[in-house]
Amino acid sequence: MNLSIETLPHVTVIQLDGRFDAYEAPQISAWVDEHINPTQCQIVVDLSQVSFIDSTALATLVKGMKRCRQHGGDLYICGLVKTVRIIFELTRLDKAFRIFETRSEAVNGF
Amino acid sequence: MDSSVAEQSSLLPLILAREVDLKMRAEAWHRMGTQTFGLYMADTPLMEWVWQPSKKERAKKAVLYEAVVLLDGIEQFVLRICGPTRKISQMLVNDEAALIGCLLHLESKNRMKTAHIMEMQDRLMHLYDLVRASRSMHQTTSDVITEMTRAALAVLDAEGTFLYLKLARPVSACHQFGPLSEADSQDYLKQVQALDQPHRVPFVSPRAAGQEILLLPVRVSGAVQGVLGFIDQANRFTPLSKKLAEIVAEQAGARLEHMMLYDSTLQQQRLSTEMELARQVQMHLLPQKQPTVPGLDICGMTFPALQVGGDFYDFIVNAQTFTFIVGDVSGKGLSAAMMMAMTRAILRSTASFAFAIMTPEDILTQTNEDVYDDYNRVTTFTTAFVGQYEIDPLRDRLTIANAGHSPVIYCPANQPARLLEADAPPLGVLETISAANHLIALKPGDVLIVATDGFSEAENSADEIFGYDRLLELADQTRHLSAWEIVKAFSEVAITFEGDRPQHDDRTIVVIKRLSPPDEDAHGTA
Repeated sequence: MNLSIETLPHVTVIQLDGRFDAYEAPQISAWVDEHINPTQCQIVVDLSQVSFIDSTALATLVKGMKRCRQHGGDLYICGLVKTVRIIFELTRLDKAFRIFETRSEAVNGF
Repeated sequence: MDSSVAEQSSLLPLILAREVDLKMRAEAWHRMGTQTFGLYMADTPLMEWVWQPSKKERAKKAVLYEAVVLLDGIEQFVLRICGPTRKISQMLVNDEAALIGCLLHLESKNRMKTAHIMEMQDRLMHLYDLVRASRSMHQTTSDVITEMTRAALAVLDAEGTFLYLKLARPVSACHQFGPLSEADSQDYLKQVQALDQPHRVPFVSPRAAGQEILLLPVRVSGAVQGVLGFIDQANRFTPLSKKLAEIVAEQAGARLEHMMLYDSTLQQQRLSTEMELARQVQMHLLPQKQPTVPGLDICGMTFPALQVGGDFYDFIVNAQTFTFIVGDVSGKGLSAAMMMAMTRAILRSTASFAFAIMTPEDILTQTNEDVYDDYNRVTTFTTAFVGQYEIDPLRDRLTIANAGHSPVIYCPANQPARLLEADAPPLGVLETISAANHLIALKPGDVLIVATDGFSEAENSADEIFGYDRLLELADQTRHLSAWEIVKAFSEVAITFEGDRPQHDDRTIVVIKRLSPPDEDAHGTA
């Protein structure tokens, strides 16, 4: 899985691709630990290129979201493909996250 | 006087060793009429032969001849021969002295060679000891390097040695070396790391000014992580000694590598034993037998993956209600197992609350409040499903509440199986949740299957996920079976689907099947 970061004014966009599972989650978790701070706490995670997500990956996104909210920011999610959307709906994590159709909508959501 | 005694003591063994040859020479001279044949240092005889002259010989005039015996070009002692002038000349005595010099020189060389061979044998024995010591595994790094340092000193016959290693933390050992500061050690290590080959440096200790140290890199796991140093006064080490020093450094590296490997294997074994114990503890937290509830056929099972995980299920039966819980802590390993134990305990105690009937919604909402802070700290969550069946054969009320759990498959009789979605996120995600109660009229023949994502996310060698569609299909195919048979079929299908691929997550499944009332079906009560 690749992780590409785009830093916009006030918002950081993380683009992931491929499978987002227990094997890939640690690198995202490490990124969260290292980069989310009071000055960088408005994050958009673009999952449009992610085909599969498991519970460990979801826990990592929850961790990122909580960390952002602790600093007064938030973590938005955008671009869910059908299989990933189903997981968010079944687990009702769509109620915990703000989820947007597109990246620009998510970025403008802040 | 002292020096002559010392010289005498080093010469005497040579002369004694050659006594037989010297005696032969003396007798040869005697046959020529010589009366005295001897070797003297100052006037002290080292070895001498004196013969009583015959009457005839006494008549002849005897003269004393002297010649200096040189050994390695140095005047060592004097040969004195006394005999008749007619047969003996100074020239012959000079030749004899030169011959004796040669003889003793050969003896001296011979002795040096023997000593050298014995020394080499000693070193080989020490090297052998070093290799043999390497096989002992029950030692600390500190013990090992102390032992290696002592052995290195013996192998090289050096004046002093040290071994410094910078693995997880620095360790050093010195033998006849004097104090070695951490800064000096690091400096030596940096030098061998930079050059990566043996080289000589001046000894930094002011107490041993003028001495040099032979430094050798010690490679552990492919990188120079240590330095072995030998004090080498006056560049005394031969090429062979240097080769031996390299062998010792190499052996030290290999020994440490083996030890680290052994330690990590041991640690892994300990860890896997701990994991196995954790797994056993976890299995004991799950219901040990299937509950008996009138009107229901119930079966719950967990099929654990190799690693401990976060799946759990529980059954609580009292006079009015039968409550069943299925949960899955996100993540794997011991941390998930610990959170599972905690969450299960809280869910169970909340569900067993004696003073009021706690509905599934109450149980989840209350548990979320109780566990939120802990989950917040460890940044994980748990999905949880709670079902509560009113034990009344005339009613068919099943109340469910779901905090982020899937898959939950409901198979109403005569309708296709469908997934029931959660209406609250998992426990530990939000500070407050409302996992609303939903009432299901569980009619005879209806089946509810609450599984964990170990089923829906089972994966085959082509990286395909089993998925929800296959699960729904499987539920439709097996819904006519008993609860136990459904559980068995789900597990078998998942295993077959995975093929060679190992099961990477726990699989937990609870099947609740409403039986026909006793008047309709003789086998109706479980």
